[in-house]
Amino acid sequence: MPSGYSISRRQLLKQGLLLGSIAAVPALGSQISKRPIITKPIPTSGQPLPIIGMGTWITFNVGQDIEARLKRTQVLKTFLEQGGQLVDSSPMYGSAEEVLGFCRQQLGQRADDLFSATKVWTSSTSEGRSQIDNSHRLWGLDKFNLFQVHNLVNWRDHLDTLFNMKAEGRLQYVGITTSHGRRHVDLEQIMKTQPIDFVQLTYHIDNRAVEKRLLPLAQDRGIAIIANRPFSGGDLFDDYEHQPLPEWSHEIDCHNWAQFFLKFVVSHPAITCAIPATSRVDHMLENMGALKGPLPEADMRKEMLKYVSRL
Amino acid sequence: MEDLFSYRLTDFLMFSEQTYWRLFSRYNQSIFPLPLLSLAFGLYCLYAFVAFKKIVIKPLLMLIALAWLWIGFRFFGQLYSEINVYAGYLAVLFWLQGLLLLSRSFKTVTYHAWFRHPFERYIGWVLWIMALLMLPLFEILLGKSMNATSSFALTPDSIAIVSIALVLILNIKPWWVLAAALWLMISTLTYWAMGSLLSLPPFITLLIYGWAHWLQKRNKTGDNPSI
Repeated sequence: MPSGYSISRRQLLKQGLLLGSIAAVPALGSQISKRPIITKPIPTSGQPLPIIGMGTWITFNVGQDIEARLKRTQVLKTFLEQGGQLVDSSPMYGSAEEVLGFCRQQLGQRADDLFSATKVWTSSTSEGRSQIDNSHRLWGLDKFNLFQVHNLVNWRDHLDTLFNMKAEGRLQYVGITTSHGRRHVDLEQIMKTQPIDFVQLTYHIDNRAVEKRLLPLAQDRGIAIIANRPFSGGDLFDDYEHQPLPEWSHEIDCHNWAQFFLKFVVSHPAITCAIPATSRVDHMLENMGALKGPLPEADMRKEMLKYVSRL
Repeated sequence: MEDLFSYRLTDFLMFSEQTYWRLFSRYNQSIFPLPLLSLAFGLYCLYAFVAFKKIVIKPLLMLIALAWLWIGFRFFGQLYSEINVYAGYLAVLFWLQGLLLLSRSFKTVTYHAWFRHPFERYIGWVLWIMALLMLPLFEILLGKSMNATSSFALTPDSIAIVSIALVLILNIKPWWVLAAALWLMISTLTYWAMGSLLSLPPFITLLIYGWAHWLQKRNKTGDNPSI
């Protein structure tokens, strides 16, 4: 558990506070930035992707508040400096896409390596097309790396649109998302029948329902998996943060619970990337710690589960 | 349907409590020094209620109605809409409430507050004081900065509490402020989802609103004909 925290990490995840001093970033960052980062290949292309990405739900929805926008810029800067690439958002996340566009603009060339992932989220097909155009405008991008159909909404029509964009070279990858373990039966059918590159779903140490069917299916079909809510929206910190980490956690370079939870998620062979969200630079540094050092093997994963179940 | 029940209240929350508070801070700054004027106005009204001074009812209702319209436009239409894709619906709710109170103000014929039962009046005063002082103090106690507190009758919870206070003080039918009750319910749920104790003031006011309805039904009273 990080020392000196008077507010739980869960509260902070929910409240989006940024209390940490940005001035402390270089000193903290230099401790972990020298080791090589872990990547996994996107199955349909072989392109390597760093295993820790960044979500923007709640944390980047700060509207026109310039002070909050500049703080989020520091969070994104830290993420990129630590070797992160995939940033995920959605039109459903209020102003998050617009704020990301602002942050990108502030960072200039330093944001060039960003792997852009957003979603289309509307029941109307034509509105979906204008939503896609709007996302390009808000992010300030001509071409996205990944567009996903959010929560399977009107997925047939939107997938058509996205596949066409991909065929025309206006999009690199196509995906579909769900969260909280919903609509897995439908998702399974889509994974079996559609030539998608990515699936985004909820997977964390306390919710492993997708291990039975969806993750093996993704491996069979060569679909990349993005794990959302890797901290269960912060609930995992509520449940375990007050407990000590196991002594053997240093063997897998886990120095806090965030790294423990993330390394469990990304060490599953089917998981390509996890996307924790934060509004704090110091928490971003903790998260990015999971991008380096050894990943737990199958036996160690069992130990991790056993340890957590005993708490 | 099973999926529908798997949602929790927090799943619908799109922003953090800190971001919500910052919205109030920016709103208050944008209308300064209006919050000071409204505070003075609220204090004067309280004095007038308690001392049985003559209150110019019609302009008072009109001012409250205008405040609803203004909050709908500025707070929801321009600021809250930055972080909540559904803010437009809330703006409409506030405009409807403003128009409803405006139409009620045209019915008003007297300059005097007229009280049916002292107890209801006292509860109305308590609510008025809640909007005036207790709500901002409670917010500060829970960590809000001074400039982010609820400005009297100029922020959503405050105007809703003031409107329900007026229902009790002036003996107006509670349904004239139905949208206020609806907003208080939304506000309660919003703060609840954030895990914030700030859900208490709107929730308590909501209970009092329900009690006012029950009282009216029991006593079979209508609007005070002179207000």
